[in-house]
Amino acid sequence: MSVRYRMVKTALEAQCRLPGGKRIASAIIDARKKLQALGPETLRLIDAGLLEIASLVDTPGQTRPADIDLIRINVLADELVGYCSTVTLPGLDTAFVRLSQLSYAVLHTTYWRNGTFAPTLVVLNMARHQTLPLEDLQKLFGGIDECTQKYMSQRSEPGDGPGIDGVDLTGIELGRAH
Amino acid sequence: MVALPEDSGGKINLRAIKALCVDSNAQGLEILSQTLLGFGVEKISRATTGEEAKSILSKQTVDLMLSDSILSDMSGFDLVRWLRAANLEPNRYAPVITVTGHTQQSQILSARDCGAHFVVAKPMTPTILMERILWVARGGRMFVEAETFIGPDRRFKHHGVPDTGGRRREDLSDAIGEATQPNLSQEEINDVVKPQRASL
Repeated sequence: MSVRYRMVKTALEAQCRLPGGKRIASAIIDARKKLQALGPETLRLIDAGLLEIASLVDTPGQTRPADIDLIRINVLADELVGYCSTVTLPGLDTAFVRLSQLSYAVLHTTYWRNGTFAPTLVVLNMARHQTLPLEDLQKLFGGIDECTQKYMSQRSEPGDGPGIDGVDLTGIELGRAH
Repeated sequence: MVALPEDSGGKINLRAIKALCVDSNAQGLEILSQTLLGFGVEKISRATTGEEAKSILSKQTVDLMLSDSILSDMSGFDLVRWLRAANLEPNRYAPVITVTGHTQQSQILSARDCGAHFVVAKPMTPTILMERILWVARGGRMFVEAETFIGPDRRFKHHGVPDTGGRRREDLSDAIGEATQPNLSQEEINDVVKPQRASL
């Protein structure tokens, strides 16, 4: 098949330089203010999300959560990391990313060590309540990374398990969790 | 990345831009919309599912789309693929920025290949989004239509031919072949590199 290249001038290109615009610095400041206004509601959602994650990993004997729960944790982590732009809680976004990576790694292997998620939950709560300075949190992230690597090294071939890759989200709640 | 001309008095006019924000999560949708409102965008449509987004894209002009990578009925990447392949002028060329919290390699590749202009990692800050919008607004990026890919040229950073080897006609091979002429003598090399006086 032939490959076609074309130069298309979009409306965004054409209109963004028209007179009467906003200073870029002002636009960014205004956007930050609007996001900050969402902060209180976002904090409530983050706390509710943390509770839900805790309940999902709180299996009898700290055994492996079901695949559907791992996918739910992954989706929740994805949502919650997005909320972090509305609050000033250094390290919380990184902690959610780590949870996303760990849940993804666990999902793609049958390898399991009881209590795997417990340290990540502790780190998430410390980041949420800012009980540790960022530099100390970052050291703890290193431990979670090692755990994730351990699971990644045990991983089956991509595509041979359930997961986010194919985004099969049947039965997973999206956007109405809290 | 584009350096933001915050101190240079640079301006941007997004007042007449028609934007579409897509996110199945209500708060996520609010974050996308509020960021654009802060930028001065006044016409913002919202969709909570991929199907709803398709319906909007089929009925009205969209100049900029922001989409989450995970939607309740499809992935945000599939939505972009649909848009690029759809016969919807001019929406199929519209700048699309996809937001994702996933950093897995498979997700990154899927994001790169879906036809989005940019993929932004969460949490998306106003500064990051403004940088990407400014970059897209500069233009100069070719739109590619091929059997396996439709979207803005992925080789826009001019990093050269990919490590896996180029597939384009103009891509040069990195294999060095046999010499086709005799090697230069040392004297000829000296002549090439000899400093010479030049009058300006």
